[in-house]
Amino acid sequence: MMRAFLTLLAMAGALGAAPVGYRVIVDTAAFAGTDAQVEFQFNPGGTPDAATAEVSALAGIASFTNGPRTGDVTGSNPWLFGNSVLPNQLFLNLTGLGALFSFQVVFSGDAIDNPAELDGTAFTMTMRDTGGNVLGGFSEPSLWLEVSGGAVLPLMQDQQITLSEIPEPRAMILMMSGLLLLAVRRRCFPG
Amino acid sequence: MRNHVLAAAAAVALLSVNLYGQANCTSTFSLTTTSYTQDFNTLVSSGTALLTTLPQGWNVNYRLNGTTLEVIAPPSTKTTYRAGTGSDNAGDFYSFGAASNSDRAFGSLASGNSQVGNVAQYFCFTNNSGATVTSLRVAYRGEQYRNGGNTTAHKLEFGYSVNGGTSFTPLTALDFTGPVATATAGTVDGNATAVSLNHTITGLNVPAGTVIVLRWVDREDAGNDHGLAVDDLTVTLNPPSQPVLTINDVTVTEGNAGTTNMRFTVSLDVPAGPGGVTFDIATANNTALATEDYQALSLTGQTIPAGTSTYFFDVTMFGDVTVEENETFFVDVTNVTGAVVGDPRGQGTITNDDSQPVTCTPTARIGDVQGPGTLSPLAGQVVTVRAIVTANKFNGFFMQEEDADADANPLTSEGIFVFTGNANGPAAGTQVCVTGAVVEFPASFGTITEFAAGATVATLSTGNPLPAPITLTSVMPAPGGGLQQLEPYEGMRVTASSFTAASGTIESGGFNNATFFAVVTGVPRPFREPGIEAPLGVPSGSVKTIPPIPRFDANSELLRIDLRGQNQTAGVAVTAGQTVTNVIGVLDFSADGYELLQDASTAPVIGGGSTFTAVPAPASNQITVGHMSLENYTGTSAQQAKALRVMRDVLRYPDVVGVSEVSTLLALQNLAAAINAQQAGLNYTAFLGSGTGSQNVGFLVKTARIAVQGTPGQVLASAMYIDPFNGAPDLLHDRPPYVLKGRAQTSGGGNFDFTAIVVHLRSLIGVDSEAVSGATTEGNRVRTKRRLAAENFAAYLQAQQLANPSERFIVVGDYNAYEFNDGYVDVLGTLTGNPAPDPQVVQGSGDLVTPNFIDLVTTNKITASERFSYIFGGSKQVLDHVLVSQTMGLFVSALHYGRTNTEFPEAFRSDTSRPERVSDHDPVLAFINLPGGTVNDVTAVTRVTSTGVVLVSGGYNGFLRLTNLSGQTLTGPLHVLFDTLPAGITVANASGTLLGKPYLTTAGPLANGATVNIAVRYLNPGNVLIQPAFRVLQGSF
Repeated sequence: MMRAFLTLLAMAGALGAAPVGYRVIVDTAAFAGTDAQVEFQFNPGGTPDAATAEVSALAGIASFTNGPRTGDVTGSNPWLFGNSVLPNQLFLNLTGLGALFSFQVVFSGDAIDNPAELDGTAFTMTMRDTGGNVLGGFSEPSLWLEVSGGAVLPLMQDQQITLSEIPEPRAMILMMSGLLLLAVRRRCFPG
Repeated sequence: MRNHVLAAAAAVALLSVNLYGQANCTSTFSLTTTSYTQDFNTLVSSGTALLTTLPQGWNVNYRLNGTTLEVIAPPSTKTTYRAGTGSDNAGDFYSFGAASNSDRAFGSLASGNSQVGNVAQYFCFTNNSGATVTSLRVAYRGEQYRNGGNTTAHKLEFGYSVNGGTSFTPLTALDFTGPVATATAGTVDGNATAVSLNHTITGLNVPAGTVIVLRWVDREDAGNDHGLAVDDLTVTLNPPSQPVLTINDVTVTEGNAGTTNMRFTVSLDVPAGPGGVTFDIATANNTALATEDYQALSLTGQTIPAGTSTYFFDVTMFGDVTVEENETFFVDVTNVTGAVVGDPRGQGTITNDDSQPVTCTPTARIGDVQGPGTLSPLAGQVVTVRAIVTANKFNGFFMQEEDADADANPLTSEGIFVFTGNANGPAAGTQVCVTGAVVEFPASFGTITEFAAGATVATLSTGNPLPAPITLTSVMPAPGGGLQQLEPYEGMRVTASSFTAASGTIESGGFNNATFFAVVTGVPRPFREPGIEAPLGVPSGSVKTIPPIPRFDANSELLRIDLRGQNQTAGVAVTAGQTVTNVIGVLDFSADGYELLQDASTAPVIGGGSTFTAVPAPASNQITVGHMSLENYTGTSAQQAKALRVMRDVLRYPDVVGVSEVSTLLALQNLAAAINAQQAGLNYTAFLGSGTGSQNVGFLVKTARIAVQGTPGQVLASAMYIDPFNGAPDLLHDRPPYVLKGRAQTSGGGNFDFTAIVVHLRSLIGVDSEAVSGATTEGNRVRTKRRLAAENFAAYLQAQQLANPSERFIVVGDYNAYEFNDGYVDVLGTLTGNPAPDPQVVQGSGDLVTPNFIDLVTTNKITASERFSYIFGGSKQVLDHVLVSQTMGLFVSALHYGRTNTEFPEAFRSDTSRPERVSDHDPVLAFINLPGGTVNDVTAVTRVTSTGVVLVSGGYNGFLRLTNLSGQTLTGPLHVLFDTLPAGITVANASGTLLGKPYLTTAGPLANGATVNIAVRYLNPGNVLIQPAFRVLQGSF
């Protein structure tokens, strides 16, 4: 059983060669309970390969409201960014920061599907105070991810930020299907 | 003693009789009366004529011994004499007189040349008067027509022979010494300076039947000889002791009104003796009647004073408009004293100049004939119009409605052409009645309405004012107005306050200074534009269409102006860009479109300069590489003199110049040697390929600055193609490209290597021809060869740059193609790697060149207004291009054309005191900046990627990621150059700029496979996508 599970996991890994998304955790302990802004940008690189970024699953805050947005940005929780124009920019107003503010960003499109694509579209996040200034102790940008070579690579991140890779959805589906099959088989052939 | 007497007698005989020389009486005149006159007015007044056509009895000899006057055997037989005004210095026998004037004199210009030498003219006549001649009177006018510039007077030495020309007796009394002998050579008015000579030779005893010869010898004197002649000769046998009196006959045209004088002359063959000659004069009616046709005249006691020989008097004629025959009356001279009467009756002839009045009943006005459209509504019909003749041309004349008869429709022309096939139409200002068939004559851009051959033309009146001209403006003809926008003025008189020449005067019909193209001042001089020229369609056999094939509107704002179109014998030299005023004439058409035929009576006025424009002087860290067409250069002294001036004055001794249309290497080597002799320290060396004809390509290299690497030579010489003419293989490149590798030294001691190629591609001639040529059309054959040659050469360029990606190429020459798609074959697009899409060109090509070559004329290295090397049909265009590889393009700072040929009049070609018009193309130079040291282009062995950017503080921050793929460590510094950057974006943190392009520098070294991130910050206020292209350079600038 364990061998079968590992096989499925390996197959899933082969289908999704690199992570296409991250769970981003920002340590805002120094600002717990205060209000702030987070700025997202998703801007094209040196060649016009299409890519999208979906931001969702905000956590560690009391609430949020949508602030100004520019360019190819649609939706709200999740928010969907395109890279057809410049800039693509979104501000969110956060209330009641917790110790750990977190969100999830998932990338897709030709730029992520094509390993030969080397000019990366950039996803950035900057932590700001309510006045728009960079939050103390953070950089501008606070996080810089690059979609390049069929992967999403961290180009720059502040030390307060932790990234956790998220499996590609196809790999996740395949792995879950396999687990389900294993469970069924175990039920049919106990012991 | 007896011997002494005989010797003395012999000496006397030799002194009195010149036994030297013999007459050549091939032609002898039979004189059956007692007098002979000759005025030589039957001699030709232009060109040459056979000596056998001289008046009967007149002969010549030449190549005479200067002492004996015997004929020295000439090297060849002289058979002609020539007409001359005295302007010619050539030795010969002449019919002297004013140009094309029937008043002639017979003379000569002795010369030291082998054909002429000492000369003599003879009058040989046989005494058939029936009497023995005991005395002979000779009277003539000696006339001088040329002053040879010799301050020594020359003469015609007279002599006579009474023994058939066996021996001659000199007679100085009848020698004619030319009156003009100054140091300034030139023509002389022979009539104004004539000397009358006469003398009676006595003591003769010449029996009837004997040949008498009169001779005038013209010796070949030291220095340039004068031109001397004999005129109005009178020979009288046994003359009376008194002068012979005669009166002449006179003819005049009657005139329509007022009076006209008829001048008679009473003449003596020799001047009157003491006491003079007296006589009476009286008119007498014949068919002309006194009082009605002339004023009767009766004079008594008229006198010719002693020593003179002529007397003039006038009879007054009355003009009228009555149609009548020519009429005559007489003038009789009576009661003559002091002279023998020769011809006592003169006849006056009054020539009728009146004709029956012509009636004219017009059936249409010209406006009706022209109609408001492009075609005549009366085409094919016979109509009668009455109008004023406005101009004559070589094959007919134009006429225009009188202003008062013009219709009010601005769309109808008031002028029309009448085809006659000759230039002898009625004079301008003549009112004519024309009846004929109206036709539409095909022109290049449509049709022209005219009267066909065979129209009857009757003169109604003369001297009428010409209709007022239409004034053309900057909105008519207008750019884009269409080829037929001037249809409403077809055949009419037009003018403009000022024209601006769009070309120099070009050769036309064998004449220079004839025609030029122009726009109304204020309208920009136009450029050739992409596409097939209107009104041509897509060639037969092609399934493509216009559009998407682009259309060139033919620049209908251009007008051709013909300064000799109204049969003028001279034009004016015009240079493109000059203003030309006082232009007025009828609007005709030519192969290029509408054409203004300048009025013969109006001289255009030229404004503005006519001097070449040199390229700028290069900086010390620059080299110049370019091309110079020498147009059928064979190395004549005139061509070499002008080419020298171009190299020195226009191109400022370029470092490498490709040449085209040079016949031989020797001619080019001679030019190089002449340049080196003209300016020391240059050391030009010539290189030339060899094609199928005499138009070869090569280089002149200033080896004092450029070191030639290896052996230059031509490439692709054996490339073949299948000629659609006959399906057989044939050479593809008539003038194969010629390749030369050069090396310049940088200020830092490095080498700057480059490869120069010169081309001369297949011309555009015939590219649109529909003429059948073997199995295809001429146009298809030309297009096919142009396309295949471009593709073949493009493949060569691609192979070369792939073999050595860092090699710097510069390709110069006469490409015979534009920087854009001409609709037939996109030659430059093919060569640069940017061909027009297939539907946009009759014969398309694929993309054969990557990375693209750069046609410098399409870049900001040259201002838009200067983008031309050739003018055709008045349209500026680029045929002479400089292509560079991306590797070379980085170092090009500017492109300049020397303005010395295409804008200047063809007449300058023979002027060796100036450089202009040694060719019809302008030369071009690329100015190339040499780096401080050795710089390598390592773009091909590196990779630069550009990360996405983040908007920070009004600018975009990002990274350039430079990776070394060379297989070895790259030493620094390394520079990432923004080769292209979208408009509106600047690099805020650039390390510097190279030729205006920003770059970022990283110190290096960079190990093989290693990547370095280089931070970049863009200012991008327009928020346009940032997608630059990069080049990577290694080394120090």
